[in-house]
Amino acid sequence: MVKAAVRWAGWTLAGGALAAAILAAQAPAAAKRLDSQQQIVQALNRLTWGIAPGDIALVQRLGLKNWIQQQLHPDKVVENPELADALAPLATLRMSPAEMMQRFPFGNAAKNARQDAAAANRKEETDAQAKLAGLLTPEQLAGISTGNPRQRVMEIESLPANTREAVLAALPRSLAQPLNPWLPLAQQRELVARMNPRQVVALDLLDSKVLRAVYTNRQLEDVLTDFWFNHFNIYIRKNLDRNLITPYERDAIRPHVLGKFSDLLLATAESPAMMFYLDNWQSVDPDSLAMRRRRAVAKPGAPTPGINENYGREIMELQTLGVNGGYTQKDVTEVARCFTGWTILQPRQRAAFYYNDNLHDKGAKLVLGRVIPAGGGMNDGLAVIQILAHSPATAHHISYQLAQRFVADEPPPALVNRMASTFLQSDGDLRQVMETMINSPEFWQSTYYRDKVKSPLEMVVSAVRALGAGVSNPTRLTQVIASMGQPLYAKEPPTGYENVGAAWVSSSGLIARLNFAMQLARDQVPGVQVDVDALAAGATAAPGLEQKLFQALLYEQASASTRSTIERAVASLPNQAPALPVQIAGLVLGSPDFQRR
Amino acid sequence: MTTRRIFLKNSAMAMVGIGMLPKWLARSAYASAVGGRKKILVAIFQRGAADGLNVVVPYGEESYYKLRPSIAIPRAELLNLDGFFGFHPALAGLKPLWDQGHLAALHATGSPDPTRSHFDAQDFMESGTPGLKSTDDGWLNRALSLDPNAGASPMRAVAMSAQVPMTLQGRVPAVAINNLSAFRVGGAGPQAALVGDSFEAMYDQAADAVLRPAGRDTFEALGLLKQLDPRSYQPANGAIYPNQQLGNSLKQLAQLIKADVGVEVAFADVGGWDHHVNEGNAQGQLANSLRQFGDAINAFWTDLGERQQDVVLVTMSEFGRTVHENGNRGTDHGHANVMFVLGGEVQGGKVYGDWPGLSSQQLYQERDLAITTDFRDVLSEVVRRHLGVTQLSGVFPGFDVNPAKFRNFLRV
Repeated sequence: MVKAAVRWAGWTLAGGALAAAILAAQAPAAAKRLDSQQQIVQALNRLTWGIAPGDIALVQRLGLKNWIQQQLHPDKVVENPELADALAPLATLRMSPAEMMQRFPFGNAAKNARQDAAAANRKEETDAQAKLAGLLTPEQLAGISTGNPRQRVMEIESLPANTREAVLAALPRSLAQPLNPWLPLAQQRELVARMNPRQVVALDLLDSKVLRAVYTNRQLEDVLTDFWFNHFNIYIRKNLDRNLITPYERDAIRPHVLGKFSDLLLATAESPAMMFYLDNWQSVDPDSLAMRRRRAVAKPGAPTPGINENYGREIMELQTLGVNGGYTQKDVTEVARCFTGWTILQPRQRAAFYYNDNLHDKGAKLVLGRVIPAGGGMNDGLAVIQILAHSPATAHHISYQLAQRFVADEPPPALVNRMASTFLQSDGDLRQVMETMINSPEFWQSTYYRDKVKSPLEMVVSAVRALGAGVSNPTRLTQVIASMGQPLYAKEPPTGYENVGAAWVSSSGLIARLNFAMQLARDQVPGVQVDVDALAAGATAAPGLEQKLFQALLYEQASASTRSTIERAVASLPNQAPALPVQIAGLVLGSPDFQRR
Repeated sequence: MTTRRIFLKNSAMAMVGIGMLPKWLARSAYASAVGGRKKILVAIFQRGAADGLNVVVPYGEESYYKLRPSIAIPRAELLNLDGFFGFHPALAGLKPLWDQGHLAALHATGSPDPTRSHFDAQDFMESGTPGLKSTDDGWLNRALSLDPNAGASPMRAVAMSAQVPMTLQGRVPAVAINNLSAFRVGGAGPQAALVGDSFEAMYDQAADAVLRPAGRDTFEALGLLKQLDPRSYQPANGAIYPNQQLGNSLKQLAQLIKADVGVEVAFADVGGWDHHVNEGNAQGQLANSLRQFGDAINAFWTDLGERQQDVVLVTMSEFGRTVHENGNRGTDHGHANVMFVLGGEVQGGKVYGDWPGLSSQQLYQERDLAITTDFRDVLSEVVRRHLGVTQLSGVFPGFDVNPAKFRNFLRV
């Protein structure tokens, strides 16, 4: 307690709005104060993907306030070199839309490529045995072909480098498939590229999501990228979006998450990915020049394209004003008219944004009571973006969503109003809105401490981080997250996933969490390397062992029920059983305590 | 030492008789001993707003063909129902059920709330309170909670999905199961039982107001389902489920129903109906969705065999779609839609409801099919006559439930 008090004093001396706000929050009831350790835990739980070994010490060294400022300015955070290494094999992360379309084509080109790959695979199956027999001794061949995948991968890894590469290149699908999640990422990606090239884009993106969350030092930026992607959700399985989704997150979302909301909104509006997802690329004025020309040469009675309301509705309902934001069906149609002509240039080749004036509705529009004069061209859509981005309804809707994700399932209205007024006063500066939220007493209120149920993604990543585990191949982790109910990038409707933590509680989800907790602690998850004994730091027997692991995984004492259950389980196992630390760690990761952040 | 009690309970279960069983299990064993088989209501939600006008097609309307030049279903390809309506050809799987008189359709049904937001409209339909956002439980859960025969199996309310949908949220515990094979804890190792028991105790004793009940419901269900072997399940009567979302959900549900684990209400959903672009006509995107839908329901019905008499299945979607096709050979968000009801007690082979017509002055806001049957009147009839719930004002609060408005698709 003395230590905490000293730190607390140092803190107030450091001054600033944050410390003052925390003091104010804690003034009413002394018993409800978060102590300085809890404040650090709260900040890390809410602003990162979970507390990794060393995080608390880092925040203590920097000071909480400085650490938060760093996270709000990610360019000032030195990035973890392990991240770049981990992402290096994921080549599609760095491709332009045009390059994606060229490498992973749609239409006839795709069909041909698939047929070629299938034929190659069939041929391989027959040639492979001969090829492998030429490379390996009979024992080696048996070693890589039989037994469990983990052992087989170890056999392959133990081969001399040249042979290893030749063997991997020669493996037929039937032998290679089960090895996928066990192989190092680079080799696995080569196998997939050879056998099912279309899968590469999605695998790269999903894997990168988990790798970034686990490894990045710019944690808040990454959490915000997840939040804003979900806010401007698109669906990876909608046709062209399979290729466009990667550049969308990279170029339209991530660079703007701490910038101006209007820039973010514009970036999404101009992205081929969003235009394709919400159909705006095909929404045209039926009486536009291009359509009149088309009708002139079309068969009589053939339908010509016209307005599509999908984007016009969702940009207001979900992305800006909110469903009660005061718009009407008429506004939906008018907004859709404003965005006619915002389309995609050569969708299957270049896939670039393109404003086509010949498709645009040139008439005057009335949007939310504001006249948009005739003849504005592309400016009509730009005007709509400015109207929506600066509306008080938007300020409130965005603030509410942020507060729901970062503070509480039912965010306090005073907090939301404070954030909304920052939003309006700062021209929608999202960094300032975040600062207002973090500097608010509500953020540090003990009621909300460890109060949010983790989403599946949060649960899985936080468990990996808490164990200090290494991830050589995250594919299985992405599958586990899907089995808990959150397939990544695959929420079909534009609503995205819920920000309400409690929405994730269900029988299926809970069972998946408990099983994952045990498998992870037992080091049974392919592609993840866990060393619980290292975490136990020398303690091998009860009761010191439980305490070590509670501290290491929960950063405080476990709840009474978790503690007593684990003590009982430990008592029923032989003391110093080799698996003891593993069992305890698994139970802690599956405990109710660990499901909250 | 309450923790110890749990351990004792579990280790004792294998050895001793019914005296040590949890209360609900004793009751359900008793119930089946006296032949107390329950009525079962299955709700299917088509998320994304299915285009009802291309599902049960009013081909007798001239304007249907005029307003849908590229997506209308040609008359010759429809499965004729009554000289005015016809099934989309992809619903061939439902036609035999129609011809046998088990399946009925209700057209021009929906929610009176004017919203065209998927999210709000789904919420309103699932809560059963159109226009009221503050409702935090679902109509199907309330229907159960009003059943005086309460406190039975932990499997009374089952959602075949990863999360419990709004329809099933509420006072009665509901279990979400998206994959029966994965519905077990602790793995196969020597410590599986210890792990399972520890987690059960941990959640049972937790102070956590959200996770404790979730854990309790889950472990009760786990105990009950221990005997099931979903991997080796063979559908009866040659039923073949499409290997897709709805087919898999209904297959697992049929297994639960036949295993007599106490299911009374169940929910399954199927997405992918939001066809703004290239909806297709007799073939295409909608056709593919409908084929899955019809074939899955057909397989479920076939598989149920003699349990058909216990089951009523009802389908819904948050709203319909515009009568006229949009500029991209698709349809935008509309108003009224079509619902299906299937069951042993259904007087099927008929399209129920008043047809409002498709001429422009007959349309809702001059663009959408108008509603002539409130979806709550359809559900009320099912809840009243099939589940036997009399307090319908508790199921649909604020709605004037009047049996005189029932469409009488169920035998009384």
